Amino acid sequence: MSLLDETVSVPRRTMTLFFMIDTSGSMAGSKIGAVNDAVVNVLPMLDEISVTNPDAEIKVAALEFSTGCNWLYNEPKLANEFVWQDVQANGLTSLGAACEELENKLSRSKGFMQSASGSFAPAIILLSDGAPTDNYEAGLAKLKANNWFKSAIKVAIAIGDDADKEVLAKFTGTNEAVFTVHNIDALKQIIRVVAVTSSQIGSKSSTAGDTTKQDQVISEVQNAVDNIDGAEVATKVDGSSYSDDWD
Amino acid sequence: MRCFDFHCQGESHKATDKMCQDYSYSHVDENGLAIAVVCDGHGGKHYFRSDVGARFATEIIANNVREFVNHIDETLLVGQPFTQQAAIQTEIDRQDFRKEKPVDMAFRQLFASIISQWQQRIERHAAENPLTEKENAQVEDQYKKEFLSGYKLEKIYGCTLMAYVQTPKYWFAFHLGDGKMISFDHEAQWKEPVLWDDRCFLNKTTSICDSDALNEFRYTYQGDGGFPVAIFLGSDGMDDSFGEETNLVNFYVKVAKSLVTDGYDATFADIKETLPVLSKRGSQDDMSIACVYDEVKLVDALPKFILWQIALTKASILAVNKKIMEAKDRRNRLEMAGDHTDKSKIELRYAQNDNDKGYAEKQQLVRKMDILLKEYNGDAFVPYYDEVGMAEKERVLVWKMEEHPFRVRLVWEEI
Repeated sequence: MSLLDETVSVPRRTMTLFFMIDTSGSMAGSKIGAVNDAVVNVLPMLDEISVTNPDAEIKVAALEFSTGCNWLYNEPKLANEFVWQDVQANGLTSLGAACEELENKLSRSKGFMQSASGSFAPAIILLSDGAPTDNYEAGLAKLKANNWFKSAIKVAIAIGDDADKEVLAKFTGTNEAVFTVHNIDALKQIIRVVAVTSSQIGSKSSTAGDTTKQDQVISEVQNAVDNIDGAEVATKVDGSSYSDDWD
Repeated sequence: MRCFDFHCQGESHKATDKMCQDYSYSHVDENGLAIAVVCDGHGGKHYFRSDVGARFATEIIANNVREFVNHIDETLLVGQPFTQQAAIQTEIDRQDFRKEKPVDMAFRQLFASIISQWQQRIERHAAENPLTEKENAQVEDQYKKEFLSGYKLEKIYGCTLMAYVQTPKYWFAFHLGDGKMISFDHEAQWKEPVLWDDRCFLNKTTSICDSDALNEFRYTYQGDGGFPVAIFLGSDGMDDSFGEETNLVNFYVKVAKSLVTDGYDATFADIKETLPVLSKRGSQDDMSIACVYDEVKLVDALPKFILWQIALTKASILAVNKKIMEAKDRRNRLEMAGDHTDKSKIELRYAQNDNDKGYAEKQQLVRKMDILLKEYNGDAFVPYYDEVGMAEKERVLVWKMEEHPFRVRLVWEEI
């Protein structure tokens, strides 16, 4: 007789991938179009990782921020069920408000997270092309005290030279996890690489070691960036060989 | 009193040809002393001898608690009410200190002795067992250097630990690191007898290899006549397989019921068969379990265990009913609004999906409920019924997607 019959539940483990997308006015046009296209195209890839991965299923949540912030859906959804609604660019860059909102949802009682047993640390991808227009430091300080955030894989994509890379590095905890892109193709490619890599590494069983999942993601994305024309690790920005081209 | 324990290699460890790093032990002697121990060796590359560390910790704990029980002044524990002590490190973090009593000092000596003997044992093992061929090939150079120099040797052998000890007059339990200990009383009410340590979160855990390990032990004791009917110790591979804690508790209830209805041998055989399957379906991690139980009181508690499962299932059914009703309400509102924007269509699709998922979940829960009702009432049981999603025929919405499957351009028709 099996002890795992219909009366016993063994749910799949879960990893949630968060997109935090700057939808301020400066993103209007080709930048926001590229973001919309890239996320739509990466969702089936995340679904494939989720379906073929015995360790965990992948859920997706998306938070857009401009003058205030807004979740695309009020719960994380499985990658194959996430229907992307194109986001529009307009307004300011309320990164602080977005950090506070993310902090609210990175909890079990009032947010998106489940029991820590049975969950993997989330992966969070922040995309921005400018500098915060609100008091981001207060919001980020709250977020940095959150246990889920501390454990998360955090990567930021700086869209163009005007993005405040120092702020993005504060968000990720290291400037090595900030990647700058200078054109539409690079933006689309980096979103795919970061989302797929974070999901692949983040949703795998691993045990305590010296190489964190974030370090693994950074290493793999850095390797990939070498082959993307118009993308670079933000730490190399002083010696950037690219100039912005968003037409 | 009876006991059992079992540990096995996790699915991910099989895939990477890594040893089982869990270790377990249980024993009940003729004087009524019952001991259960589970130790979980760390899995990172740094901890390449944690399987040995976990085995040593288990053996040392078993020996030390025997000594402790044989030599402690019983009056320190007999008569004491149920008392939980957090890790001293937690008190330091909170700046909220308890006044240490003689019983606390006795426990502190026990824990210090365990750490000290474990340190000596791993140092001896390292001296007597140079790097193997396999270790030489697999271990990174920096860790090999540390091993050869004896620097941070405890990291290489690091593990978590938990133990339960029961005598005819009192019981105590202690825990360092993650994993879960669950106890049941005669009313089939469960709890985690030892306080949780918030520093154990996701894959981070406190450990015997920490420099302040002595301050990370948390423990519980009781000597006023109250004893658990059954207590289960499980490594984190167990609780990670079940997600929500009630799922883990439900599994232990299943084991407890099996001990009564199928007997010790059949249940233990099932445990040995189930844990590798559970690792594959769940956490992929090494699995270990140790249990001490009162076979007489467990028989009396059996109907209460089933009632607990029925109540849990009923609560789940009510939660699903609520989700179904909300999804229906949402769907009806959207249909009434007649809004044909993309956003509205997406929301309608989600409402229908949520509704469908709710129905599937409901059917599964009702099947589970009927099994439990039959267990409790016998063949004369009345199958579960309520008015949400059990009789009415649901409309089927067929969605067709245009262009990209993840794009928003959708058309739908009703059949």
